[in-house]
Amino acid sequence: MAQFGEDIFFSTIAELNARLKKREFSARELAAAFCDRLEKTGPKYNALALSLRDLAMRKAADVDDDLRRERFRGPLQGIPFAVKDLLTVAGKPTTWGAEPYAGQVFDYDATVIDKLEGAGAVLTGKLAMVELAGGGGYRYPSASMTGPGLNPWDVTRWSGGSSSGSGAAVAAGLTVFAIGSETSGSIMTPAAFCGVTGLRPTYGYVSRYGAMALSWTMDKIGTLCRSAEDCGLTLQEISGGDGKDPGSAGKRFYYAPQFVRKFADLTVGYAPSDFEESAAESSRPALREAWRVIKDMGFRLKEVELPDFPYGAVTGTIIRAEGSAVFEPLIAGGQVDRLADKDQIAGLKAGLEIPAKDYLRAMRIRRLIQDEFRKLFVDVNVLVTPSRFGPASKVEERLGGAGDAKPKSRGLRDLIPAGNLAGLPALSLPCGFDGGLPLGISLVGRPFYENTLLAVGREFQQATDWHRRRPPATT
Amino acid sequence: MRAAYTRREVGAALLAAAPALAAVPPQQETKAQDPLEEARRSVREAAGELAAFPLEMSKEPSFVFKP
Repeated sequence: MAQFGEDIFFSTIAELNARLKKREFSARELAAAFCDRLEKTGPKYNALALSLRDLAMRKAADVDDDLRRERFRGPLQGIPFAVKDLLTVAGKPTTWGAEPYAGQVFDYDATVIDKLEGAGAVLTGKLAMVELAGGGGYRYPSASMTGPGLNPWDVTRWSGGSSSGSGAAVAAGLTVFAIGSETSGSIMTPAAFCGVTGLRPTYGYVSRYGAMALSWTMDKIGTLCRSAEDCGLTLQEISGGDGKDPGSAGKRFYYAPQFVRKFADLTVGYAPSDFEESAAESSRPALREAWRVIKDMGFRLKEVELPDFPYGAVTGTIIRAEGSAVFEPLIAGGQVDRLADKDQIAGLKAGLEIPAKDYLRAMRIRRLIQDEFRKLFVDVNVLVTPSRFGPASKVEERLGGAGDAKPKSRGLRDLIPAGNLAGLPALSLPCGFDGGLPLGISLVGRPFYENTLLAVGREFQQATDWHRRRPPATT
Repeated sequence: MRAAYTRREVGAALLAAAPALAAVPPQQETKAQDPLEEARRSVREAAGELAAFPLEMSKEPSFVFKP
């Protein structure tokens, strides 16, 4: 039986896959080690929703059989992963992080899980999340059936949401990579707060079949990983058309950062205010340094600012109207009152009262936002801004407090709601610390240009080692 | 452009606001935050922001959203 040191839990996909192929250890041994760690340490961060050890061991045995026969299925073969508990696994509970759905069981696997298992990856568990992905507008990190997501870097801090468990589990080495979802910030935020690399793919790139719906026009499935490289490898497997998802773009992603244009021919758009008055004062030195590293890569630079749109009102109206329509039976039946967060309950109820004309007006303004991004991306290839403008908040703190004060200049500050409205891809990279807490910088590009973001991210991670840092005492 | 603000639209806006207004007697507006009233207020504020944004009549939403 292989003895694993701490390093194994912080290895990348390529590193682990190479060692599996060399038979340094078996897929079963690796899966068992990750299951042990997930079961033992996951609850410490309120990150574990459900261990799937039985499935993992069966799958790992199949992988070992394949490896023995030299049937190599690609870089994810034998790699342990875990998923946000909004994805269905046949015959296992899928709670959506919400008490009213605690006993819910589906009889099919989500497409993403089918694809990953087809590539030989080993599903070890389901990860905690903010209840119903926060669609009603939660105000406290405690808005989850499993309690607030705790940050492995400091358990008095939030791990971010709504993919709380996905961020914490990757940061603490409980899984090699995790699947999360984003409607507006749910991958970018935990990736930044937990110091991991997060990829929100273009809307429609990854099938949502088997995923809880919150906003049909905004939901996206993505990955939280150790590196930009790992994000590329995982997206390659989970992308692709799916007739079972009406939002599917019918496109497959091939990870090929080597074919991206020379950086000297790319233009990066940025707003100086993002790294100054928009950011928390204590975070500015690290964010400025990260921005300096990117500038030194040789891009053409252009100062930009998001056009003046009511991003918050448009995003809020669309998510509330669609989310309340999704959960109308829960609201009408009164079970909504069993949710953990009062603001979330109220938000879902109020969302049912949004008139059609307001929803449609929001969708019409959204079209203008998309048009403006198309114009912006004629001259600019990548937008760069802090993923969040300060570190993780305290667990008991009301969200949207300190560090979120509105500065005079808009800059790219609203890029999370704006980018989500336009369905744009985004990559969050760990970029330093503020008081021992991780910070992230994000790259946003035009639809289906993930390879450009990943190439820049890979270069950034060759020049820095923030993505290699580990939280103290993770076991 | 004036046709965009017909009596029908004004009437619809008033109707939309009516249930929320009826549900909240004025004296309660100043009381401590009832989460539902807070959420309704937030929805109304968002609607106000959307209504204030200039929009051409011809601008159509994308019902099958594609990025």
